[in-house]
Amino acid sequence: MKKIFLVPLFAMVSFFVTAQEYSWRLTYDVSIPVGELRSDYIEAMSWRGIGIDNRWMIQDKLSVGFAASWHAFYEKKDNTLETTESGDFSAYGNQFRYLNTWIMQANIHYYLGQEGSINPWVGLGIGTAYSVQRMELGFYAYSYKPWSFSLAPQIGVDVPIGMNTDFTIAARYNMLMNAEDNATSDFNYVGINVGFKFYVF
Amino acid sequence: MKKSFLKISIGILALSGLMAACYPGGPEYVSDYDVTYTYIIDENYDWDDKAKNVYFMPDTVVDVSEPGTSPSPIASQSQILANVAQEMNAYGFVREPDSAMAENTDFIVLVSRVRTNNYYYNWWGGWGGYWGGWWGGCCYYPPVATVSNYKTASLTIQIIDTKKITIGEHEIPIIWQGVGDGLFEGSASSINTRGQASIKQMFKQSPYLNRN
Repeated sequence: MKKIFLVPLFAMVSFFVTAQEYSWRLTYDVSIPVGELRSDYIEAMSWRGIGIDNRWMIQDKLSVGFAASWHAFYEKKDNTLETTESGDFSAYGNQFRYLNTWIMQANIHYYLGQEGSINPWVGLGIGTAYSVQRMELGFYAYSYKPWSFSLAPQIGVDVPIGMNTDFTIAARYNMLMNAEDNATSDFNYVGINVGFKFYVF
Repeated sequence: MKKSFLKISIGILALSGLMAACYPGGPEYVSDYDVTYTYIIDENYDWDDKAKNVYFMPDTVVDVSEPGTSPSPIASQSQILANVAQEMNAYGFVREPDSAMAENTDFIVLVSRVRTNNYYYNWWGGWGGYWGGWWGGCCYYPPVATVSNYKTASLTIQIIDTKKITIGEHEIPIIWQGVGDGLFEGSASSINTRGQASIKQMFKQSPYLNRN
């Protein structure tokens, strides 16, 4: 049953897409917290991140596609004192702070150069994100797991290194907007994404 | 095409290995679990009235652990009480040594401790099947059950407003409470040191207690 469904799907895609019109990227992502995420929760950089980005050229210099990525933050805060606003309750100890984010976005990109040469581009990703924020203090943990609206303006460059492979590097400003009342802050961070671009044919 | 796919797959797997730890890092030392809490129980109590500074403290640390869960006390009761008295005196409190005069003081200070044995169980395996014959056979993984234990301890200091005590009332007018939590693991010296640090921290993070 699956094969019956897939064959016409691939045929339809192949009719509209040539070898050079589709590409995908696999990147290693490093992330730097900014804004309230940095001032209120985690300052440490994330060295654990991965991203996959699929793009289809719809015009000579314009592509659309979708992307997914995962980033994990961690920081230990020694001897931290937290006091409620009223001042009635205080807790002191070592805090272990974690944040995992999964971003899923549709994207659009504009290319300033030509395929086959060094090709800078700019773009925007729009979509959603799921996050798990967890803070451990002693034997207790606080978890917050929001779904957020996400935006990611981005800029990058593709450098050909082979017939069907480019080296790609990009900077992305990830904005995860948490609107719930119990949100500690929006999760904003700058991503540096390094990897490869592949053409599929 | 196949070589490209293989390279891509290896690349994905290699990078995925970095992602296996969603929660990298974590507590490494017993002291990483130490936490000190302080509460103002009576929000209406006037801590600015510095004239009230006399307290009575019993010469006993109450042990509220369940029977059978307490090993021999690591810190002597007198050592714990001495640490509490030192912090109270540094904050300008004056201790009334005579229990007969306790009802004439401004505060009564109670010190208690509790220790707990915590058990958790894990069960995995028990899958697969065994087939084969004289050549050896394969692949049955018997179930494995594990039981682990860790001990925790809490030290509690409570300050009671003596003037609000009503004989016969079950409710005790506690106005402030400090709790030191942690793993009851490690050497006796380590446990004592961590306990003393917790008592000191309770008063350090409660500057409103200062009578000076």
